[in-house]
Amino acid sequence: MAEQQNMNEYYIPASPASQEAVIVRNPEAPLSEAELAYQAAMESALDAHEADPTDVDRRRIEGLLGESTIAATEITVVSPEVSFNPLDTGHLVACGQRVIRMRDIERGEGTPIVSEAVVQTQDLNKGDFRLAA
Amino acid sequence: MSVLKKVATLLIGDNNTSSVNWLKMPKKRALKKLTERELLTLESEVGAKLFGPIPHGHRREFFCLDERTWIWHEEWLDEKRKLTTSTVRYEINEHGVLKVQEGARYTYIDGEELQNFGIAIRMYYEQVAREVYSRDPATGESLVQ
Repeated sequence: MAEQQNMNEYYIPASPASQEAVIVRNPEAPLSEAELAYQAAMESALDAHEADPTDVDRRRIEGLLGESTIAATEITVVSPEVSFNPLDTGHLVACGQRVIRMRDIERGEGTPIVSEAVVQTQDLNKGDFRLAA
Repeated sequence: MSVLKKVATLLIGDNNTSSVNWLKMPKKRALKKLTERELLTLESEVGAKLFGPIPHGHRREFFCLDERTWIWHEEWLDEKRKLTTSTVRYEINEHGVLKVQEGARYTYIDGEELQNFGIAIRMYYEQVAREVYSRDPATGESLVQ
């Protein structure tokens, strides 16, 4: 039988004789502010792209919105990096994430990413990207 | 009229102080938020200069499309005045940095090219943070009070 320890979690004993427990999130627990902001931004962005399931923007939103929106609602201070290794792909991705975070904040905190035809794509297989005129 | 006033008149055209009002920045100008595209264009202007001087007649773009994708685009007129373009897409994944070029050519960069790309990414972040977003790249805090 499950015991409710607080509003957010359930502790379910792993077996009748066991003292160990499995922690399960209470589905009725209230969402945090970041989760609420993410959910609202996701719904609003998806509403705008509801009609067409092949919509590129919709796929982009579904793939990228969560991380960037939550990042934008968090504090903007980035912890200093001890050292940068140009050969470490993790460090390269971190630089990209910081650029995107600054861009998101500049556009408006918590604003969902909705592509504005930022790049003109001629042919994906040819890698032909450029900034739209 | 004193010599000083005459010089001032010659310089600014009129000794009436109201005539220099055009030099003052309007204090209540509306601050318009830039779109993603406008911000990318500003970033690209910084990014294009990271690789040294741009040859005369060339147009170069280098920008961060998303956290794992970087775009290099350069175009110029060849000797027959025909527009020539070169676009490279760099994709960062768990295996390394994949370079995607015209003609469906895919290669993982390594050695000096990888080192230079990594340094360019870092410089892009630092310079874009300061010049476009007015933020301290080390802390992310705004440099504008």
